[in-house]
Amino acid sequence: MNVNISTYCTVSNHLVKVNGTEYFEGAPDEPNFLKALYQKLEMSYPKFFKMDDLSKLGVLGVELLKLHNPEISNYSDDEIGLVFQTSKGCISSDLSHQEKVNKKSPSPSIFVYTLANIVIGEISIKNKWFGESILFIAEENDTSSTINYLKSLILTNKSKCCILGIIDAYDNKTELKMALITKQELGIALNEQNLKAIFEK
Amino acid sequence: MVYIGAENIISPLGETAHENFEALTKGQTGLKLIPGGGIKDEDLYLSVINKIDGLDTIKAVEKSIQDSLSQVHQNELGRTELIISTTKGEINLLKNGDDQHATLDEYKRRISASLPWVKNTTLVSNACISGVLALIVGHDLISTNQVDSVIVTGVDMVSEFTIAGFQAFFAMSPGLCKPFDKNRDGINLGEGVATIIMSKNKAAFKSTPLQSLGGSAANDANHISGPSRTGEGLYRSMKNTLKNAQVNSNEIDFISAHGTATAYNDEMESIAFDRMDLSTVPLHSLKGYYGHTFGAAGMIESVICLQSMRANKLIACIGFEETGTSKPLNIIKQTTDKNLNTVLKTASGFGGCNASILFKK
Repeated sequence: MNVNISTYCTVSNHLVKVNGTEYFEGAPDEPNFLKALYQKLEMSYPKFFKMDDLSKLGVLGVELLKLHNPEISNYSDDEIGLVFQTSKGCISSDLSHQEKVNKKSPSPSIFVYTLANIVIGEISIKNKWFGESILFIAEENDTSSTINYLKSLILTNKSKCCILGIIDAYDNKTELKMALITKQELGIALNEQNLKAIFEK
Repeated sequence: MVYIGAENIISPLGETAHENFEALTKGQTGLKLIPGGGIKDEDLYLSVINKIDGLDTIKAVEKSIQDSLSQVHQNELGRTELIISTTKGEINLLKNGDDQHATLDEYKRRISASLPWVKNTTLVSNACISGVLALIVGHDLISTNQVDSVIVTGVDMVSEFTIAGFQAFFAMSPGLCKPFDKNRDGINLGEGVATIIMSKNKAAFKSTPLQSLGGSAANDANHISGPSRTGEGLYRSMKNTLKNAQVNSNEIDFISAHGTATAYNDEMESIAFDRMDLSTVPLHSLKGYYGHTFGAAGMIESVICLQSMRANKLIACIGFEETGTSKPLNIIKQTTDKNLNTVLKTASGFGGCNASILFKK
């Protein structure tokens, strides 16, 4: 058995692709692209509107994977590991909180998003997943730690499959690369090169 | 086999693991009243090394790692990875509008630059479970033969940024925190650094190391800032940790709990320990000595686990007086001698995350 890449999706600014094929493109001047993608996915999840952009993007990515690979729902609630990496993390929420601190009026609903792993919490709540999860800080192209740890989760049977997420949302940048990683006989082996190749499609 | 040792802590209580452990056995705390420590100039109990926003975390990390390295034969470590655990790094830089240097990827870059011989640096930022999770990552990378050794270092500073956030949550105690106590009323914040080395090579350690049996993380899937009422994630994490290590609940000699001293967190932990049949095992939280040090907490507390095992000593849970959780626990009231073979360390945090790891002699 190999650790292989299954369904994958990318969000690069306003362009959304699933398995390399275009799924949705938001208008370039659309100020609320994440909301537009939420509507395109016909979601009904009011909590979405309370989230920061990083969490919104992560939650939407998982919906894209589920839509194109309903088999994800066959795994039991603690068999799916969430292994994410981000470069700038929650810098947008950090800046918002700092602004509030400078005015001596911090808000708990902003402060809670100054932890970048909240995106994993939001995905876990939305999907009722109780499995392994971790957030690494790494540059977009430096996926070695994320891949190594993800492989160890599958090799030690702590997770049956994993969702790998490379995520950043700050300023005008909205970048997501997400893939379902499973143990299969056939498929594209999980390594840095293959990951780079599929995400560049 | 994964060996673990060469531990260090830098905190207001000392600059080595031994100095810190000695201070704890004497009942000393790093917490002190800082006049005007709050964002509206309220007095606050904090465990700070110098002053708020004053810790040079990079220098402190370097110092902590150097002390750990002095306890190993460096040429015996083999393929080595550095794993940093932190929630906010040097977030105080944001106060001056420096959002370039305040990010964690920049923080990671600056720490790596100070240790050029380390091949790969990883940074785990997973709220209050970061430290325990970083140790689990280290264990798993070694056990799946992807590296030979890891240096794990946990760090966080007390900053106006975090003080303000927890004040907004009304989560701060006006006095000294009281983990698991009936009158507990919130957390104290603290800062520090701690380092541990893990290796598949026992001979790398100058003094006899202990063993890591690995751990597991689980999510509550319930709420981003409130713990589960049933302790679900912590329960599942401990269940998996024990199952994977093939250890039974009745083999555990001591639990180093998270115990932040907020009403909901400590209640949640008591439920999870009860569900695991662990409510009679001696247990403490160290928040009464160090405050909550976030990304450093799991690391500092794990170092004390290792020191406790070496000294066969249970450290008292200061701040605790009277049972205050719906499921009673065996809280350590006085520092006492006990032979410690198998020790469980747990942590829980925002985002509904929970983690646990086992250490063995």
